[in-house]
Amino acid sequence: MSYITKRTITELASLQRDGLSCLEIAEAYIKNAQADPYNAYITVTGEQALERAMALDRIREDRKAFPLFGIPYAAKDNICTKGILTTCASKMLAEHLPVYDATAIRHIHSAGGVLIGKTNMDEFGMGSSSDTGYFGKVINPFNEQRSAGGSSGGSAVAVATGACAFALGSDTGGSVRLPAAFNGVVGVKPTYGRISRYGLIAFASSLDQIGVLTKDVTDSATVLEQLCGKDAMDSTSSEQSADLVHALSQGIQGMRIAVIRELTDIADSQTRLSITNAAAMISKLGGTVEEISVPEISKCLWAYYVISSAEASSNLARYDGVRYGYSAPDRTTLSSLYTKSRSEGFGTEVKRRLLLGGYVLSAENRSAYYLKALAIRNEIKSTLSRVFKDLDCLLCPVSPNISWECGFQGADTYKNDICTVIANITGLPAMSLPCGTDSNGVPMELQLMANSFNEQALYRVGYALEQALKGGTR
Amino acid sequence: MTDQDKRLYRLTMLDPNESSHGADLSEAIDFINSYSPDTAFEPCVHISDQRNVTRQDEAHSSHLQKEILSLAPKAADDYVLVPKTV
Repeated sequence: MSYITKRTITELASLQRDGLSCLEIAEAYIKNAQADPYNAYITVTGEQALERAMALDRIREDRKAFPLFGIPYAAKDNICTKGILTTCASKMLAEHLPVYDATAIRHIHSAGGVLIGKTNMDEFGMGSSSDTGYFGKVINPFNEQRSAGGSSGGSAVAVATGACAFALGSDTGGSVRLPAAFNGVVGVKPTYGRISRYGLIAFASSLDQIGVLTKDVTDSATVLEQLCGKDAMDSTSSEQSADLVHALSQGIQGMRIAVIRELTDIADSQTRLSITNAAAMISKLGGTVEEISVPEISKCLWAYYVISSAEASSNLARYDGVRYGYSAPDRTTLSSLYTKSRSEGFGTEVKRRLLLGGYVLSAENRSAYYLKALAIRNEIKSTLSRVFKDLDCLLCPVSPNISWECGFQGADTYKNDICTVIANITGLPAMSLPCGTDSNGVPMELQLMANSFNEQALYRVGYALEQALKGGTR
Repeated sequence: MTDQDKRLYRLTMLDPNESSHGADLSEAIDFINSYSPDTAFEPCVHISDQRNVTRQDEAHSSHLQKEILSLAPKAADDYVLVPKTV
């Protein structure tokens, strides 16, 4: 079956033209998803997925209208799926069956995608290792002593191991790009507003964005094109069109790319080497590469943790044991129902962030933390807007370190988000792109960032680098 | 972080290693206190360039009342049930 599950979306479409049925494709992926030795899945929708595949087989003559016809995919378990468990990897929502589909799920369904399951993650997306969830940690398939990355760790591992053809994740501070990096797949967080957040269970609303994890850059462009567009259910969604697949073959002649000194300086030696190699490849392919300094970036991490914790404490106030989600059995008083449901329903990392959010929003701290963080956000956004007047892309690491050892938790991990939170604080699009493995066979990646709604630049550079790496241009 | 703050957020620590959890929280607070960046900029609430996103207000029904009530831990008729407050 691996001749099916190792294929990209483009290759699967070609196999379909040669007679492979949607059912055969779905069966191959579901088999892997059900075996799942890496705890990547919380739910596998076996029967429903097979029925959907059979239904698609019956309308095969119309397949050109469906760019993802019969392609099995997984969605992170914080994206609502009607009648299918959506738990956010939390005891709080362990039995939650949404009554509607997220807009992203509807778009993929309309494009012909087959949902085969919901993937494991850090609880409510709060974490960088996919080990804070109620259903246990996700295991890195390359080395089980190392972190799978988070919070969309299940989505990244499922793509990397052939347990789905592509996956949806969500990225609040790097949660698509970091696990993509640790598992050797392509991860894209588009511009804030590109994909409707309707049905994405909120962590930090001004930072959250649905993203895409795929085997290669072409698949990423194919899937993202299906997800973009204005949605009446999300007032922050954008009408801007995204012509991505078409842009892939345009090359990078004349494109201007810069390496951010502050981020390469803090990276380990192997990561620095991969950035140097990528820069050389870009020059060889006709782009120009320079080094720039953006000292304001050092403020980003602080602003991110203040804003994300503040928004989380507000968003997660809705879980009170009354309307939905976990409800403590002790219903003596309304107050004890609230407190016990929240205290028993949330895990340690979520509680820590909620209390941290409460701390920065408290009357005495608000201007010193929350308002200052919003001002810093304005400063960084303004700085990067200026930078992008003369540049097409920024090149930097995804994380200062190659995947870290398991068990590294809490505030210690926060510092590793320095390279990814920039795109969330500013709303910019970013891609993490595989660039080989280190001497121990652990995947290495680099990150590309572009100006708002200029995903085309990401995909042009990403595709050119991917092709050059495949061809051994190193 | 005082007990009053924890009450405000309706949270108590149930972790058997409550003291280490407390230490972790202090660590997180220390993390944001370890650095106090300055800026001359004004706070920015919206990162999107879109402004005044409005639409016609049209009444319609989503017919979801029954389904939504079915999610409530306790419900009767058209209401969710909570412990008596008076």
